[in-house]
Amino acid sequence: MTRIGEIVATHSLGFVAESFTLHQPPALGSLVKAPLVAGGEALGVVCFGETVGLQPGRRALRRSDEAVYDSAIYQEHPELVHTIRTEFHAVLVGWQEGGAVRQVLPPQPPPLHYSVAVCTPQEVRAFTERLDYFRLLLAAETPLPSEQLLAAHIRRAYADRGRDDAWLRRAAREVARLLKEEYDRLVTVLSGIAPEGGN
Amino acid sequence: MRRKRLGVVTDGAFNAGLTVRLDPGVSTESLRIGDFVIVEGEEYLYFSAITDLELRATDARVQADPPPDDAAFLREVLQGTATYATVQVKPYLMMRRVSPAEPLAAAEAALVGEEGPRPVKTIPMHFAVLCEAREEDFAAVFGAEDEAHFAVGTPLTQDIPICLDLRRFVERSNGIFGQSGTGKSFLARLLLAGIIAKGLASNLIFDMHNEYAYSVQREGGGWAKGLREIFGPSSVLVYSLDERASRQEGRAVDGVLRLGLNQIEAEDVLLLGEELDLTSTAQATAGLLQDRYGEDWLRALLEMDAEAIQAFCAETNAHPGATEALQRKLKEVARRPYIQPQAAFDQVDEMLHVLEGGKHVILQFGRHQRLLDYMLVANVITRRIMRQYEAKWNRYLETRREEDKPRQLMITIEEAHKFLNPAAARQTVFGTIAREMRKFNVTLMVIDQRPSGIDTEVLSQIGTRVTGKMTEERDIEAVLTGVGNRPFLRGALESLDTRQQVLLMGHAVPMPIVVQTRNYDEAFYQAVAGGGRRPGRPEDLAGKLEELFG
Amino acid sequence: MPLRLGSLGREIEEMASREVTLERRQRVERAREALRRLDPREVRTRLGDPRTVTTFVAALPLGAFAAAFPAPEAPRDFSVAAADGSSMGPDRHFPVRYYVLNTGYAVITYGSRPGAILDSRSRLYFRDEEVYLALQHRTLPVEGAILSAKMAVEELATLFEVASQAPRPVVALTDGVIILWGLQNVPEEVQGEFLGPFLETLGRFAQEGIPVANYISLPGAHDVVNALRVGLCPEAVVNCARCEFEAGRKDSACASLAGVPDRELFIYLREGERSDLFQSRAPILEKYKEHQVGFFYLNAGQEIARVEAPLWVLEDPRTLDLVHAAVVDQCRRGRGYPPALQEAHEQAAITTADRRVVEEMIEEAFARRRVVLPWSAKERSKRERGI
Repeated sequence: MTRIGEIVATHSLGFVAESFTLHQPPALGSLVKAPLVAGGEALGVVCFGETVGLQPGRRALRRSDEAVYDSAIYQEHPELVHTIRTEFHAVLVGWQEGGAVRQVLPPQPPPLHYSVAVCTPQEVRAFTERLDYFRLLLAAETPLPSEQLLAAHIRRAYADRGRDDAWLRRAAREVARLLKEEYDRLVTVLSGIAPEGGN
Repeated sequence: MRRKRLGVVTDGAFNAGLTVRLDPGVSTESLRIGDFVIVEGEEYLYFSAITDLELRATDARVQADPPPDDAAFLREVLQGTATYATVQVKPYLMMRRVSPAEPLAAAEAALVGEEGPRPVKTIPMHFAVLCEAREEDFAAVFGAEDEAHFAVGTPLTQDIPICLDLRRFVERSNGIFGQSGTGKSFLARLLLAGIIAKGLASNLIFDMHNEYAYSVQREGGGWAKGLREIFGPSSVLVYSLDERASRQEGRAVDGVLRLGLNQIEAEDVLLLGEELDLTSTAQATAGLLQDRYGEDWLRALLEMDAEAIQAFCAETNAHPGATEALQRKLKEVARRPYIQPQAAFDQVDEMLHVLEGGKHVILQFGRHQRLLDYMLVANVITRRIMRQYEAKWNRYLETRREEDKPRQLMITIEEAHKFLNPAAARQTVFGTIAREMRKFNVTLMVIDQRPSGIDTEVLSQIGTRVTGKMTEERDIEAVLTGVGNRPFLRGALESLDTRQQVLLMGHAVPMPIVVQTRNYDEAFYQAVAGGGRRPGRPEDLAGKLEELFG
Repeated sequence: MPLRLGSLGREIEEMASREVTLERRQRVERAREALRRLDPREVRTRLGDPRTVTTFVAALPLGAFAAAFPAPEAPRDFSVAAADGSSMGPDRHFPVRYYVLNTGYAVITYGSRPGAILDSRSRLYFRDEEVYLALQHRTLPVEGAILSAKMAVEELATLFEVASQAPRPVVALTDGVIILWGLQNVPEEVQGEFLGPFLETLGRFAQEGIPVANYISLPGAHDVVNALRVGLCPEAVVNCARCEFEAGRKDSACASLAGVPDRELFIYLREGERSDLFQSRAPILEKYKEHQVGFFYLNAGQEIARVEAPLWVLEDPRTLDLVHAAVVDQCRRGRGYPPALQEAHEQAAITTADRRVVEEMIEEAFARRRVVLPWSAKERSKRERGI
């Protein structure tokens, strides 16, 4: 299991983790997992990513000029990478133990300082067979509007499932069902997941 | 084979019908008003008709702001979710659900008389599934082709035969309605062919336009065979009023009919009142004359001079002017080429004899196609036949011998509203047949484009209505007299194509159904000429359908 | 919020207008004028004369007064090490006497193999010998100036350690820790306690050949201006104790320059340029033996800064140029202030939250041993802040 981060804040609805790779939190909407002390793994959907200063109160200053910009900035200021960190937030959507998958909030959140890993395509495929967890995603309070999060997630799952068109349509209909009285949010999601070329 | 699922019941009431939400993926465009469908309840199957189609949205905003043309994915997903369709469905019949795996249950059902479709008495619960009807369902409700059941066509969207119970069809009077141009005569030919093929009744056809016996040209080219051509001269006899017709090449007639003045009765004058433009006084005068002079009243009238008229009027309190008018008009009638001063009824009796023998008679009118001729002749002949029939029936009642029982006789008349309008219906033999003669095994098949002109009491006696497209409000009202669930049937009538689509309802079908009528073509001729008896064996059916419908 | 901002505002206004009075501007002008005109040799002679007595500290010009030297090019690969320190405690209101020294450091390597190490070393002192300074005839608590001195010693020691491990060439920077002004007014015994290890560390820097310098942002020093005053004195022998102009005559040339900070003098320097060298004559430096300290002023881009360093750094052109180039490079990178110092400072900082955690850890450790620490009522009140 490739560890991609460590949990730095955790609660029943989700967790915050620091990414091991600076500037690259896991993709928005991707499915991640973290161990549960009681056994099994909690599953979450990445809902936010940010890179901030390690110490509170320190702001990023503009450092580029014509000659030095982008990655060169980090060469020019080698201390920078030690003063910032990349974090990501995930909202819990289920848990798995011994092959059984449940799309409800796990009884306890994953423990502080434990590792986070990205779910394999097989795990994604298995989890997304059922779509009950869409409800949890839509109800989540995240920095991102939940319909945008759902759209991002569906795009990722679609890719992880090898561009499974049948699944995409099933997912789209489920979203339409859940947002039947919120047309504007529904259109936001559907426009976000329509396959290239509109069809 | 499982039925194809269309949707689920989400609402409904016994009287109003059921509301079904269509599954996503089922388009309204695959369904038609009047389609025969099945609702699968827990315990019963409900044989129903589609009575309305509606579009809905879960959020009004979708209607205000529908997806743009290039958002194909969006549209596809919204179909059946944010937007969906509902179908209104009216159950007509219900049948207990028994699976082949429960032979005991099936036997039980049979015991309590619950096998087979019965009029509906309850409704299914929420989420009962609506399905397309399969062949077995059509057969269960409408019957399969056999000695009584005759395939008249298919549903609009499926290739499955729908049968009419011709035995029940001929048991009562029935009507073929539709505005002009809807192919009523083809329909009539279809049904008559079926009846002839299955030998369910003897037919007497008053063929006003010389259409039924021999080939006629179709609209758009080609010829349609006549009944005599299909079934042969030994089965179908042709008489004509027009002697010239008898000499036509390839269109032989078996006899030329002559009518005697002595055969015309006052009742006929009543019937012809409008045609002859007679006042009611004049019509009444005919009655007075008949009272006075008996059978010869007409001849007597025609021979009267002014004086004699005066004398007669003085005697009987008749109106001279009316009498004169009557005389004038009836002189015209007397001049008709097929009328002679005296005639015996033996030609008619011969016709009757033929009919009793299980054969069929077509009376052609040749060039005498005025309504006057038609009505007069039809009335006179029918009256004679009626009296004979009644006598026979009474004899049968005495002897109780099967061979004395008169055959089922069906009389086909066109322009029926002329014969059966409220005024005439009470006075003429056709009115009587319509109202009463069912008891004596005589029924009418009326063909008409103006059913609003037909007396309502008569209409209510019409057992089976085969109706093509109608748009006149009062005609639709008339056709639906005495039938329930009118808004749906009204809608169904208005939605029919002008050609080859009819709504069947009444005695010969367990529930109303819209039918695409079968083609009247070579395949059809072969099918009926072969006797038309086809016991419905499932394995055969596919092959037969191939044969029939190509 | 009981601070009465209204009355403060008036006083702030008054302060601002006082600063920009005409008189002040004239002073600065005179001082700049003097810098240009005066002959440094004159001043050197006067300062070298044993009869010279001043009431102020004047710097010794080692070269010209108003020269400018452009920044040399920094080497392709070089490192900058910096250290800073902060302390926590001792708190009179805390039941136990202890203090924490947190020394933060940053080592940044530039060039073909860039890298950085940012870290800190923390230590809690509680032993009697650590929290009290035992002298011959008395015991002094380690706090105030003494604590600052101890911190300075720690800082320099840490700076040497991390600088010596950095890829060469390396320049070590401190934030105020070369001339230990704080030790000036402390008893000689105490001075010795700290100067000993301090000078020893400086010696190691010299041995290793690692230049160490003190970077001062917004320097308030005026020992160069004071050197100018010495130059302007009309007397043949400079003797402030017998100065005729002190009392009454406000427009003596010397008095007219008093109060002007050195940084106002060197605004003629263009970006990256430094002034010529000066030697500091701070009293404490008498005890520095071979580690005499000099300085120069530098246009750091956003301001005029002062860089102090041992003379062995400044008199070797190689190390002088290296320090000059490194500081200029740092100021460029850090938009006016060396990032190495900034990061060292960040690493050294002790937040209020950190303080609380330490206090709680201590309370808990005692509690586990069934000792409840009594707080002073004042402290308790401050913490509870009940209403």
